[in-house]
Amino acid sequence: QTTETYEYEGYDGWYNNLAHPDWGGADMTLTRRLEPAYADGVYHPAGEDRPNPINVSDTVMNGFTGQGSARKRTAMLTFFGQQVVEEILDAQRGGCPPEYFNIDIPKGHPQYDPEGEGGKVLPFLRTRYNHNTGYSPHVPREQLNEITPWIDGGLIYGTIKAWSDTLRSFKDGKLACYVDADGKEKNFPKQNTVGLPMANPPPPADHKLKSAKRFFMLGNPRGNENPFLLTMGVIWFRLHNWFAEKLHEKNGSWHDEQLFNRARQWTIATHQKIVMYDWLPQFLPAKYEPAPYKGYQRAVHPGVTHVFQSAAMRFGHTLVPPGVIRRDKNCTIVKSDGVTPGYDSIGKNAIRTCNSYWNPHEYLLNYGIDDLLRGMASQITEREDHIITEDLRGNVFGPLEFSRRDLMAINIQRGRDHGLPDYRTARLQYGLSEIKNWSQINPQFDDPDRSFMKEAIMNLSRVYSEDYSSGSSLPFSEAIKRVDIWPGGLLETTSDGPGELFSTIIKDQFERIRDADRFWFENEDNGLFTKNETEAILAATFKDIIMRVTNLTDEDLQDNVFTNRNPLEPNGNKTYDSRPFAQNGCPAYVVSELTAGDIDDCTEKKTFDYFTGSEAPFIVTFGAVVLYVILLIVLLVAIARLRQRATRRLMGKKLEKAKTKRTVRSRKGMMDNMMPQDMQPLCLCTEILDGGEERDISIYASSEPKAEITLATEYGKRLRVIPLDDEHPVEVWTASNDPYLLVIKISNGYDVIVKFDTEDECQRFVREFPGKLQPARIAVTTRNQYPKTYVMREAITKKKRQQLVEDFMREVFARATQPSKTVPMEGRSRGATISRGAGGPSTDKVLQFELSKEEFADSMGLKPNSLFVEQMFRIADKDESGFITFREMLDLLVIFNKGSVDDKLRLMFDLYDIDNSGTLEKQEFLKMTKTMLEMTHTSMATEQLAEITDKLFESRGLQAKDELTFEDFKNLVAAEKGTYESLGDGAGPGAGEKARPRTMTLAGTARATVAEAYGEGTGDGQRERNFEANAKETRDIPDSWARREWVQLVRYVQNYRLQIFWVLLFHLSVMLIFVERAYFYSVEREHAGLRRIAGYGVTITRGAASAMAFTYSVILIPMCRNTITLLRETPFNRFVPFDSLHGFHKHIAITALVYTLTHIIGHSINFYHIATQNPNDLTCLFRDYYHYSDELPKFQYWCWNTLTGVSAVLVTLVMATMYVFAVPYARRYAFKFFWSTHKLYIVFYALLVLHGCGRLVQAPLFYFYFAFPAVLFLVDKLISISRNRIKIRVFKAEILPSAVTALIFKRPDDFDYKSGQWVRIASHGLSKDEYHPFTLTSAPHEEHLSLHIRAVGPWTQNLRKIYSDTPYPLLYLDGPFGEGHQDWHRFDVSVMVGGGIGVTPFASILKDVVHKNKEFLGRMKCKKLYFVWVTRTQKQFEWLTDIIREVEDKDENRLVDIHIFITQFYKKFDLRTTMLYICERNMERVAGRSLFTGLRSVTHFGRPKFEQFFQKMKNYHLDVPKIGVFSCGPPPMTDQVNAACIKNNEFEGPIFHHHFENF
Amino acid sequence: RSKPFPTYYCPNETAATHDKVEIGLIVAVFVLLFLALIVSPGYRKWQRIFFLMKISGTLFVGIAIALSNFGYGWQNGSVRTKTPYRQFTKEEITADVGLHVGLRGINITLKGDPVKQAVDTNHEQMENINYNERFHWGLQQKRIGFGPYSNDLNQEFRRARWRGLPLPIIWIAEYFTLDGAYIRWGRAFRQAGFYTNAMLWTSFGLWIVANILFVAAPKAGTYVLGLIGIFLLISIIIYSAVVSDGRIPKLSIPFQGGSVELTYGWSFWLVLTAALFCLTTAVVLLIVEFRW
Ligand SMILES: Cc1cc2nc3c(=O)[nH]c(=O)nc-3n(C[C@H](O)[C@H](O)[C@H](O)COP(=O)(O)OP(=O)(O)OC[C@H]3O[C@@H](n4cnc5c(N)ncnc54)[C@H](O)[C@@H]3O)c2cc1C
Ligand SMILES: NC(=O)C1=CN([C@@H]2O[C@H](COP(=O)(O)OP(=O)(O)OC[C@H]3O[C@@H](n4cnc5c(N)ncnc54)[C@H](OP(=O)(O)O)[C@@H]3O)[C@@H](O)[C@H]2O)C=CC1
Ligand code: HEM
Ligand code: HEM
Ligand SMILES: [Ca+2]
Ligand SMILES: [Ca+2]
Ligand code: NA
Ligand code: NA
Repeated sequence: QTTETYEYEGYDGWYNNLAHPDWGGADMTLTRRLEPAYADGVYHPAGEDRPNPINVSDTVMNGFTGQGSARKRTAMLTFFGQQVVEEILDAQRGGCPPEYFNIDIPKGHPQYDPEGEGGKVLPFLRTRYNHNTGYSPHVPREQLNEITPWIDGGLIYGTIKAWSDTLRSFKDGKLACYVDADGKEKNFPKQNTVGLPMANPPPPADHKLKSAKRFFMLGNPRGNENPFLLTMGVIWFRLHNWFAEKLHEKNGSWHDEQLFNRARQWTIATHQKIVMYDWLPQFLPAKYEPAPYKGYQRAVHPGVTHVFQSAAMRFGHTLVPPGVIRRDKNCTIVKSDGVTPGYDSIGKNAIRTCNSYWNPHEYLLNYGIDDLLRGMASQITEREDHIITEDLRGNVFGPLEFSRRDLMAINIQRGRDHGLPDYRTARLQYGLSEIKNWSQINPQFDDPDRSFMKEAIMNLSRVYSEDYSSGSSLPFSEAIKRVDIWPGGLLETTSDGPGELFSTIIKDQFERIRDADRFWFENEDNGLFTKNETEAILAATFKDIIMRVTNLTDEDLQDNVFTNRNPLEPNGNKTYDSRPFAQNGCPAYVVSELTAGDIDDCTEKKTFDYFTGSEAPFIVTFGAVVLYVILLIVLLVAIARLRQRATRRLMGKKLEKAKTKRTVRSRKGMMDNMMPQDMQPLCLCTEILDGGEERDISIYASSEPKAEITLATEYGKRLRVIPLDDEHPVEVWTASNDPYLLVIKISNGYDVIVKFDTEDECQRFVREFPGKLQPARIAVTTRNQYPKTYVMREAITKKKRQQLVEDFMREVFARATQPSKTVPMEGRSRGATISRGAGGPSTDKVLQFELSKEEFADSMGLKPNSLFVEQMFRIADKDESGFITFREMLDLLVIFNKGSVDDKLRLMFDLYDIDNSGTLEKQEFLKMTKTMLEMTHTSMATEQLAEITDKLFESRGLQAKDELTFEDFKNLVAAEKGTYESLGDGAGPGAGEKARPRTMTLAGTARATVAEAYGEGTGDGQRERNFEANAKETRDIPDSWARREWVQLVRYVQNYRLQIFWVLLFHLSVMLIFVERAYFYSVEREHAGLRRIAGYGVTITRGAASAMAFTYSVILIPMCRNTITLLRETPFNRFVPFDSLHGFHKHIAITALVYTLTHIIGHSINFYHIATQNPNDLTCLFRDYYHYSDELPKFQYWCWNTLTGVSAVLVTLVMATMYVFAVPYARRYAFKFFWSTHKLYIVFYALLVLHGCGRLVQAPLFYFYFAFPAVLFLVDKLISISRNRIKIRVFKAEILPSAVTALIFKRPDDFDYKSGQWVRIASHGLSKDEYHPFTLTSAPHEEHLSLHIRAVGPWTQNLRKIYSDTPYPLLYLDGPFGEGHQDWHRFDVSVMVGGGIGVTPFASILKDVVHKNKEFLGRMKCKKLYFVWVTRTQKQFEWLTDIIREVEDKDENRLVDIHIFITQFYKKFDLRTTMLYICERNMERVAGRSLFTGLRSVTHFGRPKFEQFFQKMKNYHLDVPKIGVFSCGPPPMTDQVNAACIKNNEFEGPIFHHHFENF
Repeated sequence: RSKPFPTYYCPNETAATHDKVEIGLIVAVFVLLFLALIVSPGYRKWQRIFFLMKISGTLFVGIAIALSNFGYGWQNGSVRTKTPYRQFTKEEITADVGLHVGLRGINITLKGDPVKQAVDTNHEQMENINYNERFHWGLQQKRIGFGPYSNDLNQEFRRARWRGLPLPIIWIAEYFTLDGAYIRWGRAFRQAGFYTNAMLWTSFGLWIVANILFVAAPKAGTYVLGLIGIFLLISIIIYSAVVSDGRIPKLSIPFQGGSVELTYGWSFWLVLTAALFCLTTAVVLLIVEFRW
């Protein structure tokens, strides 16, 4: 051969067999030659009815060691055997996930439970298996052999090429050598500094984990288990290098690769020869000598069988000696000198097996291997019997928590784990004779020399007949069917060695391994070795090999190092020479613990709690989180308080500024309600209003021209004027214990409660105040004896005063409408006495109460200086005292209610008679009418009004008159007499309707329709009926608590059914996700094993985690405002309550919090469980977290050193911050902090993503939930960002009644919107980042944008404050959003219903309508538009009337039909409505407009009855297919509209489509 | 077609040497650039140049992120060797063996020199030696071994065994199946790939955002561009830090006459370039904005 190339065998055993590439491959399943006996046929361990393995071990395998092998097998044979196992079999790794199949320790077990505590277990992990098996009966669980069954040098080179590459030196084909600290090479394998994954359990003698880098690097990962095994490894290592050298000498041109590969082939071949032809024949009885090689058998499978793995080959265990002696060249035993500190004791004769586990290199480095080899060759190994040395049985190594285990119990348990059948069945299936009774087990049963075996068998029968589970005994004949293979096979042992069963199994195994191997050295077809070379290999013995690689000479060893038998002695003779033999006359030596001083004791079994060292970090970590939350709360409260204090402190400076500002401003020109510039305020202070609200004011007091106290803004804008007179003294109260507080008590109005910044200012005020009023002779009393609480309690706040006014009114009305016997009705005499008997003290108060003009005006919602008020007040204030007494008020009302027609007309006459002349000039009439119109913000040109008046006068033939007498006046309104008549008995409104000339236009008929629906025009009884209806309603309120709650619940459900649906859907989804994951982790992922270590904690935390992933993802969706805007325009609007999404966000947040807390608390428990785990198990469970075999990951590792842990801690802190600052308290008092902490959501989500990226338990999942909402949100956000974030100028801010503020501001260039849509605004005056949503009240065609904002909360209130004065802060604008109701024009007939502030969208739409109508008239589908405005009192939204008026003016085609419903009319004793009502029809007569609204539109009183309304409408518009209904306002109202639509849809006719929106 | 048999073309036995994704991306970029060129006359002189610069700048960043994310050029190594090629024969071949590391896996190339070589003299058969094999390690490490719960790459390795891929490919892939003690190359590259990939996807998302912002809110766009630069830089840092974890021995796969050693490849440098490009552009734009 010139090329000298060979086919090199692979490492992992694949491609040995051409037809079956995987045969003999590493990490393939073990071969099953016995039927599996899994309890469930699939994977449950076999032998549930077999006895406790520890019991078996204790009873059967216990005994004195120290008795030599009958066939004089040597320790060399034993440890060579162990090494053979590691060449062909490695099935020792525990499964992943760990499956504990622990062995119960019998109570009081001498070694494991000496204290007799009971309940202890010996940990046992089931073997790793092929995860494609073990699911169902046809393919029961099959365990894996991690290495190749071939004798292919795996033990030398590893079964992975990469592994082998690591061992190489890449020089001359050699394996790398050990280099000691001095850099000197030693003839040992290189130290594992590179970090190969060598098996590395804790050495029991040390009872601690040590780095795997300490070991020698070998192909066999378990090769460092004990020094004797390692010695074998070293021999093969050296042999390879020996071959490499020899080959190098011979073939100088070969390069490293070639040398290495060829040397490997030689080494493997040599190993094959020694194992098969030298060691195996000595290990097995002679008659099981392997059959001669017959050539490569390509159809034979080499697989290692389960029974070989779990039982047969473990026969070697009985041969293992408790220690091995070392002999020097002179054959003397080398006493241990303690060179290997800690492990071998000075003066002992042997290295103790059990104390050398996992530290073998120490011995080898110190002692070398030569002495050990001499020792092993001469030492007779343990006897072939039932007895197992205590080094294995009881003291084999174990995990830290159980450092010394009973290998025999494990062997038995292993068989059960692998599903091995019982011993008897195994024999049958291997074609051996059936064992029917115990004595048949061992052929030497009756051999007196081996009576110990008989005894052991008897013990065996005893253990197995004791029923394992029930405690009752089985007959022996039955019990024999339950014997495990390991003890059964072991007890077959004869002096020759393994018995029939084990020998058969082993022989079969090795023959198959040999015959199936294409690379077998004797296979002539593989081209590896020439005949000569094969012969050379066959000629070499283990002794030769030892001699090649050590300093041992022929003298040192007998020829066959595996036995110490005299070669002359006949094979198999049961009598043996009692004088053991070694080559050079060395006496063979039996190591025994009985020989005192030979060996030391096995170190103690120790336990370990993995939680050790985790306690403090555990407590500190969780404590810190809790502490953090507490700190946050403290911080929040502190911030809130500080901010309040800061504002107060700031005020001092503000006042100074205000003063200068005022002078600057007032120079610009004085406004009506500004204080004259020359007047100096008495003080600047803070007024405390109802509900603790505060405002900065300045106080003025003057005697000239009128005595009055004026409260104004810091800039001098009048806020309140308090008229004073000498009849009503003023008191000034200061609190005895609060030098800043001061109350000015006003006898006919509410008190002024103020707070000063400094004590000085307060005292100055007390000093100076009386002086200011001195000229008007108004007495000022000062008091300072009461404490703050008392002062505050006694102060009459506006609210208290209003309550008084209300009581006053109620009382007056009660008296006026129900003529009580106590009130004499005759006459309007001033001095009429009023009985006080009926009332209590409160009535007293009321009776003494005097209504100021201010209050009188206020109760009508009018300004005190209005002409109407002046007139009314004048009429009422008969004694001209400036106040209206109870009597006076009653008199007035009696006329309204009970008075004759003449009385009423008289009253009207007086009202018009401004100069009180008794005659009514036309000018007066005009002026009064005009005032009334102005009051309603209606402007009408004087000429126009004059024209109307003239017409009116003309129609009564009064045109000539300049002055009207009372008679004339009566005549003028005679046509309406009926109306006034009916007023007397409370006739409803709309009575004037009939008299009105009816142009039966579409509009006119429509109006009539509505009027009809309300029974208007029938005149009488309407009001009464309404009263009745109200009364009934009150009666309907259930009296029992339960029913009340029930009704409320029902109403609630009715109002919020969509919300309820979505919330329920949401919760169901979350729960389903929770349950799904929980189920997955507790049941479906059982195979992953996490639940086994963390219990249902995992279930809960994982369930909660997924629920969180979901909730924290969907929480973004309600915040996608632009998307929602889009969706609103789709039919989704009817199914999704888009307006509730904001609340939904919070709802989700709270839900998420619940799951988050579950998750966190669950993990605190999980982390505890995890920190108690064996690190190896965790390596399996948390595959993405790696820790070295000598590391014990503690709690702090999982929590602080893993991405999952760190991100978890951080995200918890971030989340806590967000939540704490999201509470209503925070939003109220520290909104900025809410908003800025809320921006942490970016960090929050980043951390959540990272948390998942840690992949501690599963592949990242969060992004799966998160992706869609995140993208949606991002896009949405981008739309908002991309809007011009320009500052927008506010042109005008109007402070309107009912806490409404109107803002008129610049419209950005490209701002397109539809009427009815809303925007978000932030104001520079407030937080720039805090946006609030408001509906645009401007119409798209208008140049500017406008908003009408009702102050309901802090922001809107602040807004009102800051826009009460120029310069107006700039705005930021985001939007438009929302559908609005712009669809109205798509219907032939549309109805828009606005309630309360909910009219805002319609304001815009109405304007739009008017504008559009001109252009789209012809094209527009809508032919009729009803607008129904429901409001408590019209004064609430007077601004709207301007819009309506404009509509009326421009709506020439009568497209829009407007109905106004004033609901407070009957409910509250609204003076104004009552008063105005009287004048209403009169006004209508005169000006064709409503006095209430100044509009032509019909005003109704009471709540609309939508059902009837729609019904009439339906009848009227019968030819129309659909009627669109759009409503906006309080939910009960929109719901009622909805109900009305549904009800009406039950009948034929047009269908109502309801779209609604309630903010 | 040879009548009457149905049409059937000769087999085309070449290795898939080019990456569809890569080619698709590059083509897409050129199409976009081409479109930009076509549209550009719509702009005035300087604007046109700015427009084209902007387009190519942003396209460069986008393509850099996308290409390197999917590319197998994070680390490369190759060696020319004489090596066993397959079992059941003792012949060796001369070939270039290459290892290309991506974020999701490795690409192993084996190209004979010449491509056709006699591999089994006994049978005088000539084999086409031109392989390009990919192994992916998936998101998670998963369990040891090669079973259904093992790492994706291990499973692919086992499948490769069944498919009988040439030995050099198997040997290299096998290095990435190891996971124990300090020998954890597969894990290290996978972790590096995972985090880098996450960073790159984030950058890519930001890139889209930046493009929108450049139209809508240029200043915000500039910030996002800077952010992209930071993320790209982080991805580079993470990658090199994880890949060169000092505890894990440097990967070196021996072959006769040399070994495959890894050095940073085009993907790595491309991302670094893009990172620096983004950062400098962002800084320049911000300075310009502050100045004017
Ligand atoms: C689509 C829409 C249109 C609206 N249109 C008008 C309108 O035209 N005129 C009008 O007077 N009011 C309107 N509102 C209501 C108005 O947004 C709130 O009254 C105002 O934001 C209250 O803020 P606050 O801080 O003064 O009150 P708070 O006491 O803080 O809140 C009162 C209510 O307003 C809500 N609110 C508070 N801050 C915000 C915010 N930033 N964004 C959204 N809601 C908030 C709160 O959840 C609470 O329910 C509208 C609301 C919505 C949702
Ligand atoms: N911009 C906005 O839209 C704002 C909206 N709101 C919301 O609006 C509602 C209250 O706002 P506000 O302006 O004070 O409204 P109101 O409470 O003043 O109600 C408006 C009108 O609707 C009437 N109404 C109520 N329920 C019905 C019904 N079932 N059928 C017929 N009419 C009914 C009321 O009559 P009655 O007097 O008989 O009750 C009242 O006249 C709340 O839901 C609040 O959240 C609050 C602030 C701003
Ligand atoms: C000091 C010497 C020895 C020690 C400490 C030892 C210890 C062990 C241990 C702990 C196991 C694993 C048990 C299990 O979990 O199932 C085992 C398995 C085994 N032992 Fe030993 N043993 C020794 C010697 C031997 C010898 C001399 C032989 C045979 C000649 C042998 C044969 C086996 C076999 C076949 C297995 C199963 C291997 C596998 O599944 O990978 N052992 N031994
Ligand atoms: C950790 C859980 C939470 C997350 C991830 C989260 C996320 C968000 C997001 C992304 C926004 C939109 C911000 C924007 O438009 O810029 C937002 C707004 C808001 N969130 Fe949360 N949130 C959480 C918890 C809460 C909680 C507990 C509350 C209160 C109970 C709350 C109340 C609000 C409010 C009031 C807004 C303002 C909406 C607006 O004015 O437009 N959030 N949140
Ligand atoms: Ca009076
Ligand atoms: Ca007069
Ligand atoms: Na092997
Ligand atoms: Na024994």
